Amino acid sequence: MESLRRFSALVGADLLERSRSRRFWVLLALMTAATWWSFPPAGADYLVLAVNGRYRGLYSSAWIGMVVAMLSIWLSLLGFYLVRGTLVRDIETRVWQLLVATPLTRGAYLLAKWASHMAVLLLVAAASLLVGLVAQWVRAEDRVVDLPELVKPVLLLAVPSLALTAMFAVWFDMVPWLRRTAGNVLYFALWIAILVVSVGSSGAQEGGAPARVAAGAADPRGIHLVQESVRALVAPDLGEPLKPGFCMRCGLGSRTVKTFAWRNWPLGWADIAGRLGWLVAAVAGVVLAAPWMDRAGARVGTPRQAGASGVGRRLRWLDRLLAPLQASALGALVAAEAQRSLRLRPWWWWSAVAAAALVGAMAPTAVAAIGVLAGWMLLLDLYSRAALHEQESRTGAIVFSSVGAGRRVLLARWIMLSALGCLVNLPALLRFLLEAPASALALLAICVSLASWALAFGTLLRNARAFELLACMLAYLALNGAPALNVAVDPLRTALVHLALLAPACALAWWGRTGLRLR
Amino acid sequence: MNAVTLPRDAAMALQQPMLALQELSYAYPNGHRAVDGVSLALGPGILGLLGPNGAGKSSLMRLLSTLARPSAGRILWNGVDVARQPDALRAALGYLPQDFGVYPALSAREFLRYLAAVKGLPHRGTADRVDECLALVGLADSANARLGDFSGGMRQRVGIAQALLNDPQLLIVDEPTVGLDPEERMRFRHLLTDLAGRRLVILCTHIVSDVEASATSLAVMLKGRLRFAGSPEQLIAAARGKVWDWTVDPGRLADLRARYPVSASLRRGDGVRVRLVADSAPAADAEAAEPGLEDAYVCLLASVGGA
Repeated sequence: MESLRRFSALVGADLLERSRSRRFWVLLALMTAATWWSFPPAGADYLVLAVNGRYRGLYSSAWIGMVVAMLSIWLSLLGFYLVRGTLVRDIETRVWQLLVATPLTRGAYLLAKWASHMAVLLLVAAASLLVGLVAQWVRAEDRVVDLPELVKPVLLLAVPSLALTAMFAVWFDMVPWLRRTAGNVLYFALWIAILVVSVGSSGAQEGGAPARVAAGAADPRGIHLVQESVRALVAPDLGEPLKPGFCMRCGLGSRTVKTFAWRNWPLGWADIAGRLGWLVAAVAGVVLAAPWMDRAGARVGTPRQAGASGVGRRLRWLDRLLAPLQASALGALVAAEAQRSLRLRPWWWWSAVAAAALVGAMAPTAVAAIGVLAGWMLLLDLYSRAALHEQESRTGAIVFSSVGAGRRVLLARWIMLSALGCLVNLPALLRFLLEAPASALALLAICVSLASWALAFGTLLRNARAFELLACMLAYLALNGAPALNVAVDPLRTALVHLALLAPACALAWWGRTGLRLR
Repeated sequence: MNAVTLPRDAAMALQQPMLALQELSYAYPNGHRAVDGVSLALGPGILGLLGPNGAGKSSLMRLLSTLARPSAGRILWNGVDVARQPDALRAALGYLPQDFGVYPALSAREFLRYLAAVKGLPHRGTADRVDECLALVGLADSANARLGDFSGGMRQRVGIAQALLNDPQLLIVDEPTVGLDPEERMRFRHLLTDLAGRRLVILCTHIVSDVEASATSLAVMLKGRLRFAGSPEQLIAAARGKVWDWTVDPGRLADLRARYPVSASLRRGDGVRVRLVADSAPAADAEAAEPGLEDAYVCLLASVGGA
C-alpha cells in the first residue's frame, strides 16, 4: 500500500509538472487540430487514411477510433520530445539523490516515470478521441456512438505504440550521451526505422496464425493488423484490387471520394495478444533497465562536462587561427564563441567532421551532398542550443545586465554558426565553386539560413528540441532526394528559398532576443 | 506605502540621490508581490540589504540590474527613469548575481575579455583592464587557468572581476559569500570595503556579519516590504534595552525559543547562555546586554512579525 502511494505520488507530481508546461499545451493543440482536420466533410478535396487513394470509412465510431489510433503514429514521434527529460531533470537537479535515499526501488522509480509519460501521452490521445467524437456528430454520416468500438483501436494500436515511446524516453534519459541532441536525432532515426519495418510488414500476405504472430512481432505500430482487417472486411466490396498500405493524406484531384461501412473491428485473440505483447515488452524494458539506474544517476551534466575536468581541450592551433579576430571587439567575441564551443568537442567529433569533409571533397556529387549534410548534422547541438547558452550555463544575469549585450551576443553567435557551417564543409564548398557553382551558392545559403533559423527557434521557443526535430525531418527529406538541405538537388532554387527565408528568420531571432533578458 | 525612517545622511542623499526607488513593486504572474512599494534614495557608500530568505531581496536586485521590469513604481538612476532608458543604468552597472555560471572551457582571462566585449567596452585597453581586475581580486597568477578547474571561491572572485570591468558607479552583489569558506569570506569583505568610495555598492545578503563588516547604511526587507532604512548604529540603538543574556537549563531551551526570538545560544558548564529579545527582562536573573547588529536585526524582525 505504501509503495503504491509512493508510486502514485511520483506519477502525479510528474504529470502536474508536465501539464503546466507550454510544450504540453502546444502538442495538445496540434494533435487535436490534426484530428479535426482528419475528418473532412464529404466535399473536401483530400482524404485521411485512404484505401486505394479514394476510399474511406463512413464516419462511424469505429472508423473515427481507427483514424485517431493511426494518427497516434505522429504522437509516438512528437510525444517523445514532449515527455523525455524528466529523468535528466531529476538527475541534474539532484532530486534523484533525495529519492534514492528513500525506500523507493529503482524499478518502481523507472516504472513511475514510464507511467507518467504514458499518462501525458494518453491525455493527448484522449483529447484527440474527444475531438473525433465531436467530428462524428458534426459530420453526421453515422451518429450512433459506440464507445467500445471508438476506444478499441486506440487501446490496441495506440497504447502499445505509445508504451514503446515512453520506454524509449526512459532509456534515452538514462544513457548520458543520449540525453541531449544525439538522443533526439537517434530517436528520429529509430522512429523512421520502426515505421519502415511496420509498413514493410503490412505488405505481407494473409496467412495462418503463426504468420499473423510473426507479422505482428515486426509491427510495433499495428499497421499490418489494420491492413489485414481492411483486406478482410473491405477489399471484397471494393471492386478493384486492394493496394498495400494507406495514404495518410491523399489529394483527390478530379476523383470523387467513396465510402465503405466500418462499424466494428473484429479481432482474433492472436491479434490482441500480439498487441498486448508490445505493451508487456515496453514495461519489461523499463523494469529491466533498473540495475543501470545508479550508474545513470551518477552521471550529472553532459558527458563532456562530466569528464575529468570538464574543460575540454586547449586547442592552441585554434587560438592561433583565431588570433587575427582579436583585433576588434566583435572579432574577439566571435573568437571566444568559437573557442567555447569547439574546445568541448570530443575526438570522435573531429574525426567525423574530417570524414564528412573527405566525402564532400572526393565522392560523386550526390554522395558529396550527403557528406555536406552530415557536416551540418554534426553541428546540430551547437545550432539548436545557440540561443540557450546563457540559460544553460547560468551566465544570463552577467551577460544581459550590460548595454547592448543581447545584440552583440546574437550577432557574434550568428557569425560563428554561419562560419562553422561553411568551415566544416570547406572542401566541398571549394570543390562546388569549381564544379557546380549553384551547389556552392546553395551550400552558403543553407549555412546562413541554418544559423538564422536556429537562433530564431531558440530565442522564441527557449528549447532545443523543436529545431532538432525540424532539422531531422529536413535531413530525412534530403536523404530521400528532396531539396531542403540537399545541395545537389535543384541547388539554385534551394539557395533562393533559403535566402528568401533569411529575412523572417533574422527578424524573428532579433525580436526574440529582447525576451532573453527578461527570462 | 512602507513607513521608513531615513537617517540624516540618507535624507541628504535624497536631495541628490544616485539611485532612487519610488514606490517600486514587482509581482509575479501568479499575483505574488515579491517587491511591494519600496521607496529608497541612495548615494555613494555600501548599502547592506538584509532580509530573511524570500524577503524579496533578489527580486529587488533583478529589478535594479534591469533583468526584470517593475510592475509599478520607478527606478531613477541619476534622475533618469530606468524603465524608459535602461541603458543609462546598464552602462554604469556591475552585477554579481547570487547564482551564476562560467564557461568552463575558457580561461579566466579569456572569459573576462569575452564579457568585456559583450559589455561593449572600448576594445583598446580591454586587455589591460582585464588584467587589472584579475589582479584586484587576486587572480593574476591564475589568469590562464581554465574556469572549469577553479574552486568555488575563485569562481566567485571571477564574478567580482567581471562586475568591475566597466569600473561601475553602481555595484550590486547578491549573496556574494554563500558557499565561501571563512578565509574567502574575509577576503571578500576586505575587497568590498576597498571597492567602496565614490561608487554605490549594494550588498544583498541574509548574513548579518557580512553587512556588519562593511556596510555604511542598511535596509531591511521582509515579505517584499522595506522595514528599515538607516545606519547600522540606528538599528542597534533601536534595540537597546530589549536584548537580554540569560543562562538557562538546557531542558528549557525549546520552550524559550517558542516564547522569545533567540539571536544566539552558547552551551556552557552551568547551562545554556541564551541571548534573546524581549521588551522587558524575561526573568530576574536575565541581564541586559549591549546589542550587536545581529541582535538588532532579530529585534526588528520580531517587531514586524518576521521572527
